[in-house]
Amino acid sequence: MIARFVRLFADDPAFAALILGCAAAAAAALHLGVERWISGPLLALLLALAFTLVLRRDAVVRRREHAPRSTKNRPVG
Amino acid sequence: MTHAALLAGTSAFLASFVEFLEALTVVLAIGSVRGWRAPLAGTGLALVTLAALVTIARPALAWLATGPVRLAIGLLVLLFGMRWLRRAVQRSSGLRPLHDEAAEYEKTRTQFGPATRIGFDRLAALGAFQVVMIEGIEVAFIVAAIGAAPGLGPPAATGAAAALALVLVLGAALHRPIASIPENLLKFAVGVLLCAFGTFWTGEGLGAAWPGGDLALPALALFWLAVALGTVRLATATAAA
Repeated sequence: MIARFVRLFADDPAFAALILGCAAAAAAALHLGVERWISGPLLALLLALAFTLVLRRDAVVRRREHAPRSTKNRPVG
Repeated sequence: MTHAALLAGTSAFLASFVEFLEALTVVLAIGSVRGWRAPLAGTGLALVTLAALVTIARPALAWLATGPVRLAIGLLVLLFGMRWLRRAVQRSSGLRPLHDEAAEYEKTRTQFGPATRIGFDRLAALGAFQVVMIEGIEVAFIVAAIGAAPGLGPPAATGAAAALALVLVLGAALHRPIASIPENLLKFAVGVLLCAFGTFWTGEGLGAAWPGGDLALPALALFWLAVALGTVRLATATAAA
């Protein structure tokens, strides 16, 4: 069970850090005096933005993996 | 029943259904090659152990409703939910192959192979026990997290119990992998609901107030559904560009 929880972070630490960062940003907004009823939706928007960026990165990585290899540096002969 | 209770019951049902379905696939695969006695004994023992664990840990559930703990639970549900939703979006947009229960069933059958000796098959019992315990503990955690708020524990527990009953009935009736159930669609729905709960609890734990109170939960579920569908389109277009 502990291993499963550790995996939540170990699978993709950057993704987990991004989620925690969004929560920290919402906490900072509250601390700086942003209205309480704005902070909740702000958190949701930050998380959605982070999620979209991560999925976009996944798609770019996938595209690069499947792109045809360059022939520029291929040895001749 | 309030919107929050209904959503808690549905979320717990769907999440538990997916987890129990994964356990069922492995138990059925083991049973089909090594006989049914040992894997059923392992499954029964795991279910009894899980019930005992949940009963012992029950007094701790009230503690889950306190502020800082709610924040921690919210973040964990969010991590769980966003991970599930990310994988579901990746599968829907072709970035990752679809999870195939039939392939998993065949893989487990090959791994275990036919029993070679007569008597109680310990390996088969242990395999079934292990998978039911792993998936069951995950269910227990999800149910505890979803039912952390006052009044949401009973609907979450009922949802999980209904999922277990349905999976047991399906397993008894079919005796083979339930490949016809669109698992990714289920995972997509569970991811959306867990993200909604995770966002809600994290916000509450931080001290934010949600416009509309509990009504924000269904609104958050719709919000995450829109985000997920949007990212499927974005990821598909980006990967194909």
